[in-house]
Amino acid sequence: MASAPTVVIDFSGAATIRHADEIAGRLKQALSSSDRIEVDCTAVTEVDIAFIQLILAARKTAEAAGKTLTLSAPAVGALLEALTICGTQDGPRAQFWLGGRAA
Amino acid sequence: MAAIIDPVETFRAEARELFEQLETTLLDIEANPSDKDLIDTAFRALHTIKGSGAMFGFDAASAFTHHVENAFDLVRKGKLSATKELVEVALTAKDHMRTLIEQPEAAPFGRSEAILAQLAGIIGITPDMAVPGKNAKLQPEPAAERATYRIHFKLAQNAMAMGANPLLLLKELRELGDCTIITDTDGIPALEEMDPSGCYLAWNALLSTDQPASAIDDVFMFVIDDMELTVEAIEPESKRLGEILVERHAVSADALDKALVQQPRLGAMLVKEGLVSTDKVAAALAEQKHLKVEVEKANKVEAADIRVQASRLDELMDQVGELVIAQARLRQLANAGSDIHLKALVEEIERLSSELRDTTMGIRMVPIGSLFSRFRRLVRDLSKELGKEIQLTTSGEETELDKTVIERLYDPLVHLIRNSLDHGIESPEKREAHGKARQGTIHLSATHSGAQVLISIKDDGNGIDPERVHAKAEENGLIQPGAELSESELFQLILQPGFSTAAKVTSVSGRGVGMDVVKRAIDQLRGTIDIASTLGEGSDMTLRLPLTLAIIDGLLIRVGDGRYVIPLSAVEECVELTAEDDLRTTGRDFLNIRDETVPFLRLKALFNIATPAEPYQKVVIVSTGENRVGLVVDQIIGDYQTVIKSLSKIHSSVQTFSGATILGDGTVALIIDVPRLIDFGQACEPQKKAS
Amino acid sequence: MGTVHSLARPVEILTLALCGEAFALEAVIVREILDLIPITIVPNAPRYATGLINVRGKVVPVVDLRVRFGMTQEPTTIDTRIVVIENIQDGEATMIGLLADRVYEVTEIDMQAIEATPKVGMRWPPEFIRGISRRNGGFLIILDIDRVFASEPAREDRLHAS
Repeated sequence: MASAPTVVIDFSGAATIRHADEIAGRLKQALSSSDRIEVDCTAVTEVDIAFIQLILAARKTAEAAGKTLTLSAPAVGALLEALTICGTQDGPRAQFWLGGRAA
Repeated sequence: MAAIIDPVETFRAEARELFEQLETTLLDIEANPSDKDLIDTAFRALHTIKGSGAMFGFDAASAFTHHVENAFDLVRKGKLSATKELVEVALTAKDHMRTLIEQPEAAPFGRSEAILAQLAGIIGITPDMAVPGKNAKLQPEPAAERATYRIHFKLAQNAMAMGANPLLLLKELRELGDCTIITDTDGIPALEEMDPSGCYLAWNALLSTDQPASAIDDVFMFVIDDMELTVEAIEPESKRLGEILVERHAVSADALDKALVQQPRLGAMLVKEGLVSTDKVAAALAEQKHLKVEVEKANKVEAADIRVQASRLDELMDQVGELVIAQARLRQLANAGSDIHLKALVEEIERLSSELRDTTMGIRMVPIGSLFSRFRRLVRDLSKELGKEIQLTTSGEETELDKTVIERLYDPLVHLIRNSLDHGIESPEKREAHGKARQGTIHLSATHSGAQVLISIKDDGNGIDPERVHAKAEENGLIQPGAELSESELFQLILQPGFSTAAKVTSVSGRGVGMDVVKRAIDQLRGTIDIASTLGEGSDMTLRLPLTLAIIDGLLIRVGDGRYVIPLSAVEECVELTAEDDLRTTGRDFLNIRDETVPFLRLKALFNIATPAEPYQKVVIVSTGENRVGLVVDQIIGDYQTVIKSLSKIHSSVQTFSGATILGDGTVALIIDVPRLIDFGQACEPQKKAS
Repeated sequence: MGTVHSLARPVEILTLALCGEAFALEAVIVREILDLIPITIVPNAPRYATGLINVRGKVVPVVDLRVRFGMTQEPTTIDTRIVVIENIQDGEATMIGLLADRVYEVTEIDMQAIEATPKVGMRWPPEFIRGISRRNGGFLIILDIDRVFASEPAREDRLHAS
């Protein structure tokens, strides 16, 4: 497979259910345009379960297609807080969200 | 002999501790009103008092506490600030709660209402409204036993679209206790099949809490429709991963058995075999970890929280004392013979009994901090009453002392602190006039010094006026007019019965009891009081106390036919008494030790022992803070661990001995009270001169 | 202990000798009778209580009633015994060893048969004596041990100058 350049999509401000459709659209578009997708969440100020689910779903889709989807930086701020509440930082997914950083 | 433990008494004892803790916390809050941890601590203490109070039938106390708890709940939630006024009312309320629990019948009628009205005034609403709607249970819920629940929940797919926020639910769940949450992502579909607003995640949680199970249901109260929710109580015990997976229905027992054949990494194996998802294993692993922590915590709680009646500890100490005596006899017997095996065994037993002694004494050791914290309120209230500005600072709270010593220190310390407050520290105006800070300081400290603990009460007040002490002592006939005394000798007069330097009697100190009461109490603890003071700058009272009342390390000596024990803590060194020094008997006896003149006392003379003088006498140099004195003895036998037995009332007039002990051969030896022996020796001196 | 009892019932007593005189105390307060064991002298103690002994791991004061009663001290003999009694002092049971020149026996006495202490002609402080009984042609002096130890030994020189 010819390697296309890495696509970086960044989210900022409120990444919540209110913008779910828009977020899903951007992720789908990125997945169709490249093999390597980086998601930048550092500027996100508000996060809910919908956003986390979308990222997880995008990752699952990418993996199924032999593509990679990573975070450009370990989760911080609102995202980290939401992940901490979910307990997602424990277990195998910690690597994805936190880049191996100890919770 | 079996002691019946009254549960109500046990509750009272626990409540007493809680009240102490609460008081300390409230005083801390007064100093740091924005410290969230302190507010939480106060809230928790109130919550516990309310809950267990109701459980033991103290309904009035519980209902009353409920309102105070609510006030702190408001503070906790940032809806009310912890003002000085609030702390003041809370302190009053705390005292009242204590009365309601200790002597409910003594609680003044209408007091609860009066305090609550005050409280309501601060909160700004009426007491009834102070109860937030949802928690409006005037009957406090019974405090549940700590339990661990395995919770699984999955919201309806449209729940988030309908406004539910799983993050808030998880947050509430976490607030109930120690909570481990694992998100199960198995339900996440591929992006293209996904409804971006749907809810696909499920959660597994392990919650260890002392809240009732109903509290968990409360969390899901508004989302309960169409959701999957299972809550099961589980025993916190260490389990194997496989068992957990089967229990969680994540894998069948059959499949597990198959996988188990291929140990070692069960989790990885099951995932590889496609029998179970990564998340399911992660959840099980998390559960395993959570349970392990919980089991450890339960064990720790058990280990940390055994309540033992003090009398049992005393019995244990007595028995250890007997053991030490028997062991000393055994050693003597073994040393007299030539059986090497016996000697080795005796050494072993000696080591064991000495460890047992230390452990037993350790059980009785309590940090002095709990005692210190009891004085903060005293200082706060009394300085207010006296119109003075005084802060109490403390250090060395972690210093440990025998429980009995600590209990018996309270009264003398109260007296000394009151003295400092009343006579020591000046009024703010006077302090300013003397160029001092308006606020005076009393510093309470404890430090270890060998086998002794030094407790110092130091203030930056006016100090003691030596001239006034002299005048007063003359007036009371304690000293001859014009007698010349050193400053420390002079200050010791304050401790004499009937001496009180206070010009006027106030309600704080000077209630007709003088410092002699303090001295007697400290004497009974085999302690001493040193007084230092600089006029205009402050005074420092230092109590020197033995670590324990039961056993001391001593130096066994012989004078004539009698054997005596000198507490090792007082011994500085032992020297030979040369014939030259011995013969120099004119006037007072002095010894020259490294160019320092040390007076010595002949025990043979002091004890009226009529045996002839021996050729090789020794001098044991002892010290009591400032005094260094030599004691002339016939022989130094050696170190000796001594179980102190007090002397009976019949010998109460004998001041020079603090007690007696039983030696290895079964005979009794007296334990010398060094400071009193020196006093006695000095008192005998003039008689000797006269004769 | 043992001060309240029916006068009608015979009371068990222990009889002993002090300076050739026969004394008795209630047997119920006696814990044990010891042969003379080494006594540790307490320097500067009251002369009637100069020593301490070890009784089963307890330190017990030894009291010489002869001194307490103002009698002459006689040297110890092979018959000298220490009678260990229990006495309540300040609300606490305290063991005390009493020196006796000789211990005779445990016997019964009818308390109604005892005579009041004569006010005169007594060599012993009357407050320490409950009464006198005639026995074998002689006198038996019945002690009131509680009183012996209750009162402060005012007559006693505390720190006897030597």
